[in-house]
Amino acid sequence: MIRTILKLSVCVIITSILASCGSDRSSESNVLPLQGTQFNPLSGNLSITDGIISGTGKMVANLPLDSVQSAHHFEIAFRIPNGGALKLLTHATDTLESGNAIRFVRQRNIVIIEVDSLPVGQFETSAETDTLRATIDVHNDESEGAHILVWAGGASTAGTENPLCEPHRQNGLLGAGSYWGLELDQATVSLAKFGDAIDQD
Amino acid sequence: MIRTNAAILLGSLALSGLLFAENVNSNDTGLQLSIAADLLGEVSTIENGGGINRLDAREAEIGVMAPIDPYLDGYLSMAAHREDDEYVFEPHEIYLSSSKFIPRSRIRAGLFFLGIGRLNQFHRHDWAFTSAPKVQREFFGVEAASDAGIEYSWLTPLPFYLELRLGVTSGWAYGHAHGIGTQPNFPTHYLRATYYNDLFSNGGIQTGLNYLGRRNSSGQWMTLLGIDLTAKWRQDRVLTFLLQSEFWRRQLIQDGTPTETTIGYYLFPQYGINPSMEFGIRFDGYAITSQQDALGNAIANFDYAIVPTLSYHTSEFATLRLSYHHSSDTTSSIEIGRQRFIQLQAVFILGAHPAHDF
Amino acid sequence: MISRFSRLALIGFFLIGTVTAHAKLNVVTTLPDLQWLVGSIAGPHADVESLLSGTENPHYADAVPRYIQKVANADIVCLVGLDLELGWLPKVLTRSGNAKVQPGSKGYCNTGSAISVLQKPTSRIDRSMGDVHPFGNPHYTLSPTRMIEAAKFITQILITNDSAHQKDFEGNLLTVTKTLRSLHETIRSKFDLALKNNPRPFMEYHQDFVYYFDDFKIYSIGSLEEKPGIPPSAGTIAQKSQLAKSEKVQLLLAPEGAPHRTLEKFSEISGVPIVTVNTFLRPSWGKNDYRELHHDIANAIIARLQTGTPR
Repeated sequence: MIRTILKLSVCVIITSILASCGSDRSSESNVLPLQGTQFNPLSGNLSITDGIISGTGKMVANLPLDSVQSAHHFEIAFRIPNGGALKLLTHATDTLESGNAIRFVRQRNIVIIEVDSLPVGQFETSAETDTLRATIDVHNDESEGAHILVWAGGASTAGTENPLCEPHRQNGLLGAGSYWGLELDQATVSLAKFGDAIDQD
Repeated sequence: MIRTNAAILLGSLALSGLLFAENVNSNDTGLQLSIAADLLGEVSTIENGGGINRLDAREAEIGVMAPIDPYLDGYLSMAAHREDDEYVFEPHEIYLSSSKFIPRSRIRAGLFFLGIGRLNQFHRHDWAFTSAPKVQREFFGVEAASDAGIEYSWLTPLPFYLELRLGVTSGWAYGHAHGIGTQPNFPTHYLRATYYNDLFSNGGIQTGLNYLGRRNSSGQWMTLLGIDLTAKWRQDRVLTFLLQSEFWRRQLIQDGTPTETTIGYYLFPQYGINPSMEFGIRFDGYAITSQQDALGNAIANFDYAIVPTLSYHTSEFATLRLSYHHSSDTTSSIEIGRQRFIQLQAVFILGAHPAHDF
Repeated sequence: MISRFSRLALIGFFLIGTVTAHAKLNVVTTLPDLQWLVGSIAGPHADVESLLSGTENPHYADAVPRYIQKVANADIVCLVGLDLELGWLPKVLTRSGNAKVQPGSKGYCNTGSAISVLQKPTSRIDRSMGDVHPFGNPHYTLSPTRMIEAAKFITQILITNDSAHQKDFEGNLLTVTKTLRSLHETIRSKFDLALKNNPRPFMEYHQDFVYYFDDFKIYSIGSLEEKPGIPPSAGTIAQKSQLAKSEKVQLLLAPEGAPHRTLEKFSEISGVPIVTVNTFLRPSWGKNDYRELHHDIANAIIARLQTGTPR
């Protein structure tokens, strides 16, 4: 009787361990919810406290964009320390490869905007402790290459002002997938969501 | 802005010169000039219903054609339409064509609407309805996919109508483009086979099988496969019944791996009430069949539209059209977007009498 | 890898359509009436086919692919011209890829260029006047005298394309000319007899019968249509009914396919009887003889005149 109970207990424990290992990718317990957008960590060390994600690593949004050849805006709120960075990856594969990359990197009191590793604009001066808000349009359906517009501020005010920068990716490059996500380098993110493109050209 | 205004001014001056020239639409040079105007008003019936909520001149198009010499014909069409807050005047088609070099063959070279599908081969003001179905907008453009290249059509010497067509165009731009686009890794190319069969009671049905491919500068292959079907019954002046439909599948492939597969279609049956009036209802469908979340779970999605349309022709040269656009976009059984608006369209043609296609 | 045999088969397949040597000419006409005329002249030296079956309105046909395929195989295309087929034939010709039958080529047989045209506008016209044909009224096929003029032109085209049978074509031309002249005299005599004591005018729905009335000396006060190609409004029907009454119109002639309700309304108000007739041959219905068409039309008119009551 005791042996039977022990055997059953071992089976239950083993089954629980196996169940908790989850699928090929992240299980629900690894999801990082951020104001309505669920992210799945892909690599690195990311944590969430009081609705703010921080650390160094890469995470992909669970729900994809409308399609590969689509145009969307992305609204993010973030903080970057000196030398840190935040990269928005759009229209990428589910492992965030082969997409459009818009990188925000802080050099002291300036946050520089880079596309394809080239500086294309910058924010007004800010401190490391300041939370910056940006709205980024990515039009992945243009024959000249992905068209990227970056505004300072939220989506409600974007489009009423001139963007900080408005480059096309070089050589007509476009993102190859329909997923999006973020890559943090010592950064914190408190908001990240997407919607229809602001600039309807 | 200045460049646009200059283009409009130059175009207007050229047009004025043509209109006052004695040989317009005369037999001296065979020059034929026609102008098509498309006026559109939309009113949303719900908040953010998708209509433009005003009356607007959607497009004005000038078409000019003439024999150039005994071997070549020339065709030019320029269109003014609204982009953002201003009217843009740009070429739609500029090409040479000939059916005199190779027997049973037509060749055209230049800038033209790609000879593929059904809607893509017609200018929007010639459509049987007001606006493009979603599959046309997404796969080809708001009006049509056009590009510069060369197209060859050959009518097979069979006892029935079967035409084969091959086109190759530069592919620098496909769909949305602000400028000349970017050189692709492989140009746009397409094939079409068109078959026709008579039906009972003065009817006929034309079926087209279509393929289009292009590899953009990012190395992504786009392939389109489609079938189009047009059936017509005509009694004297009355188009008693029209059935027009297209079904398309688009696949995007990156580095040998399919990244997205989409299907889209429309079906438009139309009944001729009398010589002046027709009523039809268009059914549209669109879905990304490969859509998955980041965990690999399939995401069900389906966009549909139902567009009843009433057309009234005062003559061959003017049409008034009233339609109601009812559409819904759903993802995972949740409606994420809806459009409800009424459209009133007026199309008229000045100048040369355009010949009717099937 | 395509085998040598397959390659040869492909080349042969391609050439089948491109080799143009024919024992007989392959002639395509737009109307069955022209098919009859060309067939009468060409005799056994041509296969003649009509694109339209006679039941369609030649103003409003489409560039049906079947027409394109037939024209692609043709040595000659004969049309009425005068813009009757403007709405569809140019597309058919272009899409056929057949250089022999393009305008200006030796296989392009525009019979309208050879006839004595009626109602050619002498002043500036525009579409506010309706569907006015700028080169004149194209509905000449109901006129035996114009068909004789067309026959002469067709003969020249046939000879240009097949000079070996010139004598046969010219001989057949004489025969068909005699036939048409005899037909013209016979029908004219019928009408002279029928209208001798009753010379009141006719009317027509559309201007289909202008040449017919001209050939047979029938006086017409005009058409019921508001303007050419524009169906009459209720007001126009009333107005023209009054005119018909005052002019003592004795009959209105209309083609099959004219709107019945409009004709009935007119007849009801004016008291004028309506006669609807086929205006083209209909070979698929067994009606493929031009003389028979004319006798059918004349007999229908005369029968109505004799009964004298509205339809």
